[in-house]
Amino acid sequence: MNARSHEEYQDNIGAYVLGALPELEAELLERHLSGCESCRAEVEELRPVTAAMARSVPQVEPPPSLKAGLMEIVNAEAAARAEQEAGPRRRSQRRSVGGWLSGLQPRMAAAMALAVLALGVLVGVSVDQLAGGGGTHTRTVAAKIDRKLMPTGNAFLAVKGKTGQLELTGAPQPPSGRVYQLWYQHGKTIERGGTFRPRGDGSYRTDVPVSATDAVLVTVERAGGAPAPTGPPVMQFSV
Amino acid sequence: MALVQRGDARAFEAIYDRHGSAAFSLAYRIAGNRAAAEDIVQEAFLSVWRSSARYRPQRGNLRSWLLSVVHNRAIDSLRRSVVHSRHQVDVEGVEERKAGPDLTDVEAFRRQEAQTVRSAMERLPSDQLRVVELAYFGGFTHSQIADMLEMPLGTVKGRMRLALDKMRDGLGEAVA
Repeated sequence: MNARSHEEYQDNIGAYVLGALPELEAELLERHLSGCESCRAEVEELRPVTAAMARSVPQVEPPPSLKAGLMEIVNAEAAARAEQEAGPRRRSQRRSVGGWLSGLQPRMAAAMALAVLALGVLVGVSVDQLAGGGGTHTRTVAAKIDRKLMPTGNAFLAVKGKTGQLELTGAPQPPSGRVYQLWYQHGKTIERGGTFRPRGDGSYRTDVPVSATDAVLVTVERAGGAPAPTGPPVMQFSV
Repeated sequence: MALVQRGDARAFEAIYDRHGSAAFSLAYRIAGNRAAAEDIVQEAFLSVWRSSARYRPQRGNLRSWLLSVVHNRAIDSLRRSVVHSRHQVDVEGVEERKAGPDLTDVEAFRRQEAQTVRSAMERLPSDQLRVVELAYFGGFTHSQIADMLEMPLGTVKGRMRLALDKMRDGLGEAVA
């Protein structure tokens, strides 16, 4: 893959601009673009064409309920942000750090020992219930992020009924040979989840089970994943 | 957008009011049904709300950036869908929806611009138009299109590039 020539990358530019490159190939091209001025210039020349195509579609009015649902979430998140800025020391944490750590199985508690120290210096967003009162409403949970481990990016968990969707934006790539791994804590046990690497722009989205989950954690593990966490969580959501 | 970056919900609402319809139209064009389009637009705008700092005015106007976010979401949604392989293979005959009777100057300009772009697309040779539509509106990857149309991958890439170059040249100032 790394031996790909400039011409091969160039051949992919049309497909890239149209969104027709598979994810991995798109990421490879984006890496090439960061160091190739001529390819970058070609992309910039062609982007207005697809932008014009996007604007050319027949216009269809969205239903008012779309805006209403969207603004319900946005208003709740804006209120939560304001509260955080106004009184970071007052904010409540639904579960204490010690609470979930002490609830883990012994082997997990050992594996997570470093987390105690790391979480002591959390500078991420607190976990708050932001919107909705259950039922079919979407409740958005912001991640507690350990900024020493993940200095950029944000993460939210949208919980609707028994399903949740984790959304990550602006996250750094884990080091070479490492991946992010999901964990689901419920009661005294923690269940292994999937591994992932964010897309080239730092975004990632996945569905997560929340019906029997107290907390969703993310750690950095070696490629392929680990049977149990080997380090502190870079982020966590209290469900 | 600066206000949105500071968490101003009213500023965000104004952006939705201005661009939500275009976003929904694009999502609907790609997804093919209203429910999926609503999900796509909600996800896209929430993504904008939560990561609005990523918008760079020097790289294009807000509307184009928002629509690129919607497009990415729509394509992701299509590719997650188990029925994607059966979806929108026939790209002909997309139903045109009628506009309301009262157009503002801005809307009239946009309508004219849209017609210009559609005309430019219609002038493309049919083999080029087909790969472009399958890719951009159908959400298919270049290799899926090559399989579908039973042609070499290099040919698909070539047709995509030729089509984009022709449209860029044909549209000129209209897309600058």
